[in-house]
Amino acid sequence: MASVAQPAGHAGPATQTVARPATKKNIGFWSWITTVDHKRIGLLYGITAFAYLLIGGIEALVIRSQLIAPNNDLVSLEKYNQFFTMHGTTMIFLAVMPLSSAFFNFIIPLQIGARDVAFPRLNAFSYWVFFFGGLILSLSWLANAAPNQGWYGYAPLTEKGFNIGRNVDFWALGLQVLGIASIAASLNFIITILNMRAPGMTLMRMPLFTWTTLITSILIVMAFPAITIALALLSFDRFAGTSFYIPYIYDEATRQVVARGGDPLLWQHLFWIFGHPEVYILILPAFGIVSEIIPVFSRKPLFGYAVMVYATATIAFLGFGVWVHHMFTTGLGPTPNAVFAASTMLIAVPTGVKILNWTSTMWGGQLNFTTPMLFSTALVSQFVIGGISGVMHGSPPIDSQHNDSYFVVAHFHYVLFGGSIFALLAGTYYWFPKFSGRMLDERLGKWHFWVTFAAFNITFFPMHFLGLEGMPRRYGTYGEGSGLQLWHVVSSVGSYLLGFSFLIFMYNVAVSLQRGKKAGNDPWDGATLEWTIPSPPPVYNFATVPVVRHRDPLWEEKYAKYEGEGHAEEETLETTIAGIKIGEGQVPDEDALEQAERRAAADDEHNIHLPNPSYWPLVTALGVFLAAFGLIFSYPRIPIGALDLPLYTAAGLLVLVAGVYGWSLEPAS
Amino acid sequence: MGRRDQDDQSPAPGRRSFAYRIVTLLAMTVVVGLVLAACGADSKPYSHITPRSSTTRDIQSLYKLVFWLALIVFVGVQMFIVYTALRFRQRGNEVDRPAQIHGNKRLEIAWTLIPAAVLLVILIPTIQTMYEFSADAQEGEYVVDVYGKQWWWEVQYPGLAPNNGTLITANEVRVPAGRKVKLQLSSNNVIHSFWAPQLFGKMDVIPGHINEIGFTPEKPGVYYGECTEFCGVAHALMRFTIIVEPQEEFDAWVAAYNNERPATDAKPETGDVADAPAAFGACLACHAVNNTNAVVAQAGMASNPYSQGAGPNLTLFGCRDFIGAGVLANNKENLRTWLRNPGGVKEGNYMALLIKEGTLNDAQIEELSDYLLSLKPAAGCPEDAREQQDAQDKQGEG
Repeated sequence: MASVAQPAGHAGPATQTVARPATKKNIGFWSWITTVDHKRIGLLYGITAFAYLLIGGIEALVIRSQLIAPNNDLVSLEKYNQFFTMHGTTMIFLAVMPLSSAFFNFIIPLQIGARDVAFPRLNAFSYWVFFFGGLILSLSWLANAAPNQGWYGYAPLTEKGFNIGRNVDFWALGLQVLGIASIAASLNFIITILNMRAPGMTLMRMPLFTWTTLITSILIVMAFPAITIALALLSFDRFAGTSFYIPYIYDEATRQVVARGGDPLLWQHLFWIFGHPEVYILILPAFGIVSEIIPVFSRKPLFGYAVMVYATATIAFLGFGVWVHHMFTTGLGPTPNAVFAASTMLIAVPTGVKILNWTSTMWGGQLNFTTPMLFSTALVSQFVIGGISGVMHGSPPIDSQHNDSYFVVAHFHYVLFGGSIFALLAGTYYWFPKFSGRMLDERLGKWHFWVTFAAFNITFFPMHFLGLEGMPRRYGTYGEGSGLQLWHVVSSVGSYLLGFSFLIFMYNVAVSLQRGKKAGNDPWDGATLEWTIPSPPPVYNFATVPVVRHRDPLWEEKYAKYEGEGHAEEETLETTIAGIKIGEGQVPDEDALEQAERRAAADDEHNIHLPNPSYWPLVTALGVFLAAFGLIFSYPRIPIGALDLPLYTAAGLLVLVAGVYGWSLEPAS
Repeated sequence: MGRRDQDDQSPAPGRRSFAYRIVTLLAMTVVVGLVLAACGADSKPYSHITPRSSTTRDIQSLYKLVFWLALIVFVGVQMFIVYTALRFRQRGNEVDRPAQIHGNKRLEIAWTLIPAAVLLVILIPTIQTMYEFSADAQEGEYVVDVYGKQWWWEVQYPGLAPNNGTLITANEVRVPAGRKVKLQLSSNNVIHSFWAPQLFGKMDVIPGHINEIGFTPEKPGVYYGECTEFCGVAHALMRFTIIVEPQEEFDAWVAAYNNERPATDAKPETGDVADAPAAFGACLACHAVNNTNAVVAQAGMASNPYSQGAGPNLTLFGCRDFIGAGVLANNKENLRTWLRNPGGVKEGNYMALLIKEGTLNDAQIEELSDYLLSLKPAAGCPEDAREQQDAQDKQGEG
């Protein structure tokens, strides 16, 4: 790709000299389509993902409405299967992951004192590929072929013999396209964070959210190849008649069952080698967000910063070694199950450390329960419930009762809603002033929080009981004699209230965008660099590149005399906790920092280099979309030489090549 | 913790007890919910916290250990959070920033090691239990083969049919009480999972693999089970029963199933296909009735993986409790409904490819349902005796 031409640390080859970027009005539809500004891309991610969050929510309400009565026929079983498949797929790939991306995009360059990400056009490309991946999945509804095999798509139910329609193709190719977006974005953020930090911001001075973004991006780069391979093999099975996941086929001619050598468990291993790190891809950004919010509203630095960093890294590392706990009931035998039970339980340790460190951050503070703080505290408390139930089915014999029951549904909603969504809402309230220049209304915010908190527990806590009473997952109906209706009704009522809570939130956003209090640079008495610049930030973010001498640079500036306290303790913890000296050698000496400061001051804001808008990322992404679309709708076909290609795929490949060439040949100004 | 403590040496007792009350309330909700979930076990046939075998009792005792540890952790952590949140609320009169504490090495090491120790307490019995279960499955002496189908279960008893043949039935697993049973699970289509919550935990039924469950049924009775791995349209309607009966009743059932009768008896009691209504001919494409000339349908691994041409074996259908893998109780009314439009009762099922509303006329439906219900021994179904026993037991317990 064109990006190889770009030396890391610079904005990219296509630069311009902006006279005064702040006064240059850059508005209108096309400016958003061609934008390469990380803040606008962040907002595009946020808006698109929120729309999908609402769609996924509506899908959830259909599920809950179906289950409110036994033998209900609000939707057919086939439609119900589509709804729960799309609810899971939408929430994971189209809502929570891109909502995290929205925060990565908007906040990370601001937190590390950079003017943009390392590869701004690659960043735009990631967004557009995500957009088209979402479009492929959404188009399935219009084709009346929404995926119907579960978000985890266990083979051989996904094979042509058992799923003849396009449903699975929409899903497999939609996820492939989304994977391209995720990997491109993650490489971009790894490179940005490693190379573009302000002078003086050592790794151990990075804000926790920057740390979790870095680690999440590494997780994505390492985990997504597994599902890419899994989906490619599945597509070979479906399109080319291979049998990677098929042990038997039926030979119509001889009326015999014939062995084909494939194995359904191959899919499960590949999928969960991706799938379990994916859980941490969804939750680690959330941990980062609350690690920013809790110190600010406690007016105290994060308790045990170094341990929090190590805990995050440990969770990510162990996350690759626990996938078999999704397969405890597949009959792998007691020895593999014992090993993976142990690694699964081990992962509770760093997670528990995080919970206690957050609470200790609050201990002795001056807690200001604003809406972001309420959501963050709720995360700490509710995640404990999801963590505990996670340890329960970490034990294989117990899991043989809990697996695929509503107990598991309760567990992961406590983790994903009580964890990820609570943190994303907290982050929205916290950074909304930075996005928009206005505060979200606090009174409405508190209503929003308490309704969400109550509704969340009314919806999901009863699912524990449903699980114990034997309600399996992915059941579109249950019998009258099963004694399950009571808790289903409670849960459904809770889900309607949860839907209502999002109306409060949207009303708050709509009202606050018009009439919200002006935010100023630093409405929350923040500690990190994003609060040193105007809200919303100018295109170039920092007029002068900041120099960082402390982990909480803005607090150091505002409260130098308090920051002195306990600083030595911080350093010792940082340098000795792992038994090796970390940090010391990396802290630049004062001379270097002063030099950097002089350079930054001389670097007058008339001379800021910003990347030009570009439509090539969109063109390239469109090529990816068309190529995938042609594999789903494989007619009409055109013969090219010996090849017989689907028309759309051929066209897509041409557009893709044109996009890449246009991108790399784009003039520098 | 510095300044705060000096200002406010002891938090107001009212607030402390408020925190305590909130958490107690939460904990009580959990316990009350569990009690509610556990009680009325009879009306909750799929509840797994009412174990009825040694296997599930072992799981339950492990679960209890984890549950009480979890409850302690839950209450402790929630109290810590709620207490901290209430005690250190901003009052609005702060002039100074609070003490800037960056961490506490000793505390952090402590709360790394203590959870690790607690987890070890769970892990050790977990591993012990797993190896015991595995050994149980190996020791099983009474082998029953179970095949997952879309969307019903085929049950095979090797060696129980005449001439050491295989006895084939569907959706009901009959086992003699007190014998060590080994269930061998397999599929040639998609993945299913076999779960009878009160007797044993889930085990997946995976094409290309043979998985085993070992358990020892104790008290005679009917236990309910269901499929718990998503297997397509009618996944939610793939139920089964495990019927535990004393050895002699089980033997009587096997005999009835094999239709043992004097060789001189020219006419089988289960109804010859020659006696069947003409419409039954269509059924024979997929269904079999043992000991008649109606054994064309395929069974087990040899059947079509795409679930065509292989339906449940209908031998002794008149004695079955349910129609359509646990979907409807087996009686004449329901059988009529089923035969009129099986797809309306159980969406997606393969019988509905052939039999749609109007395919069979009223007279044929009437004949067929009469015939199917007549598929039982002249002396009545073997379980009639068991039902009487059950009724007596219930009176005794009540």
